[in-house]
Amino acid sequence: MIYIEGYGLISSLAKSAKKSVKNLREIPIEPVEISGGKYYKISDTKALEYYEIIEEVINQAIDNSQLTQEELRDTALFIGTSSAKLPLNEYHAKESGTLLKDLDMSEVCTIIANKIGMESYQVMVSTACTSSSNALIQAKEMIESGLIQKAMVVGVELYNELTIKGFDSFMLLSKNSIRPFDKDRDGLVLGEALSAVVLGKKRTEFELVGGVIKVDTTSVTSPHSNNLKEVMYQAIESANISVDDIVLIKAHATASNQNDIAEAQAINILFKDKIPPVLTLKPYIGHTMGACGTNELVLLLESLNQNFIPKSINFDTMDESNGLSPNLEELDAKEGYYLLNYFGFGGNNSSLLIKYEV
Amino acid sequence: MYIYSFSNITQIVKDKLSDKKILLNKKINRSDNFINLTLAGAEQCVKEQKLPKDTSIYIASHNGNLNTTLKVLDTIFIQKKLPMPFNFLNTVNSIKLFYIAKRFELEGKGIFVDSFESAFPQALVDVRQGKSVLLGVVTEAISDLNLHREKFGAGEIVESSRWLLLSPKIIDRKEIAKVEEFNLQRSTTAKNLEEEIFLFLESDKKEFDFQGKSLSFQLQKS
Repeated sequence: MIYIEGYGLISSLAKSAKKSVKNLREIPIEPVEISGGKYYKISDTKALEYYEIIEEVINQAIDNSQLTQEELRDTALFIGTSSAKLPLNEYHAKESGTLLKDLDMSEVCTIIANKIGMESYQVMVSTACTSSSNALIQAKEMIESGLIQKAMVVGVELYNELTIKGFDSFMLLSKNSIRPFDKDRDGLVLGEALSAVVLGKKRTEFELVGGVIKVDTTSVTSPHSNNLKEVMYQAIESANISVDDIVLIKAHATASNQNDIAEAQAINILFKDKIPPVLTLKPYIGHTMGACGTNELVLLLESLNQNFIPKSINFDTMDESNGLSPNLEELDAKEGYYLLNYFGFGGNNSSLLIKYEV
Repeated sequence: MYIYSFSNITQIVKDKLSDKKILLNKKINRSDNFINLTLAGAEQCVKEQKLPKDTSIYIASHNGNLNTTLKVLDTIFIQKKLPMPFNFLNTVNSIKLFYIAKRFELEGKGIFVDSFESAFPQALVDVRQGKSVLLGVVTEAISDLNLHREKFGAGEIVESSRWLLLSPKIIDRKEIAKVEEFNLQRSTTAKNLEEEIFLFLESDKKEFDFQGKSLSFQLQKS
């Protein structure tokens, strides 16, 4: 059995998991204005401090999981990111017009591992919005296989214009706010955030019981409900439980028109008239792309640790074509199985299953 | 774990990048050099085989899609315009997995990672679960060869797309090689580069010991 032994988070809400969830509950942060739309920005970040901020979030997870130096040395490093070194590269593009200063993805793991003192297996996973959720699943399977003992899974997405302008070119960015499943949704709002999750065999209240990754070749940009349903179903089946055991679905919920329709249809098909509460977290921190896998997981786990399940915000009117309304009231934390969805460009879809047992 | 087929496209670039589309049996609209190079290697590895639907796909590349990334960055930072949507999309690593899955009608796992040595242990886990794995290592050169030399040194410019089809033992089918004595342990000096695996597979030699930066294994031909 694989457990989540600790975590850390730096988001636009705050620079720790605990404070991020406190602010999420009390004073949700508004995105800032940028060219083309809005953006959830971490305060006081600098492009050249790329490695330092990754090191900071890993150190939060080390403290939270109480990893010893010896354990850390044997902990594998998984970094899930869509943009990899683009923030650094773009700094040089802006400053000197040098467009390809440095894009070698492997170097990020090597530099971070050397700084932190990690000597085990290292990998950077890059599969768009599912990068860090896929990294969690891959890490879990490698621990189960006995190839590694523990894993530090880090989701990293920092400000870069290529992602913003790319989404703008597809006219997927909202000019106003991110409103998942709402009838009047008009696109997504991107954000930067990073988080780290320690996986291992030491029992904690959070078990990573299942996870499934599937590629859907229906469309390169839009998911299909049948595939999304299948990903969720297989994740549930992998834990030998039924849909009735799910106490909450953390939806991917980007607020883009097609994505929300497909996800809502998939949930309706799979859960029929027994849909558990559906939580949307992107209205709190934006769509943090490749890091949303670990970011949204940590927000949920820390909320449970603070004895509540957040309410979904930015929802007013149900879209009849979706027929899905997220949970609009804060709920008490509840033991049971939590399903977390992550869907990405290129039909790269994954679902995680977490068991919460105090 | 067994190797049932492989491909090794290695092209030395003299004056300009070659047209990879001529290597493809099935062409893709709006594809670029990196995607075509990726597909060409995968097609040569798979040939006419029908792969199980749950076959996992791993693509490894240190620098990813250099030419289209350069084009998009130029559009944004030099021309100060929005990129063309499909140019942006082609910079996204999961898009390459999509095209491989579509080409071979696969529905399993798709993972893009930074290096062969990152991908190989994950592939081993999938094979231990009974799955087949299509694993490719793709290296693209920058079409502006002067810029390429400026970034990567004055040596020979090479583009490559090297693939392995890995699987548990398949009854009644002869494997090319068996992977044995796999060990995941970091070493300060790598004795071998992954290209040597493919040179071994093309050679008459019977055994090869791979010692990379983070893993080692032995290949034995049957």
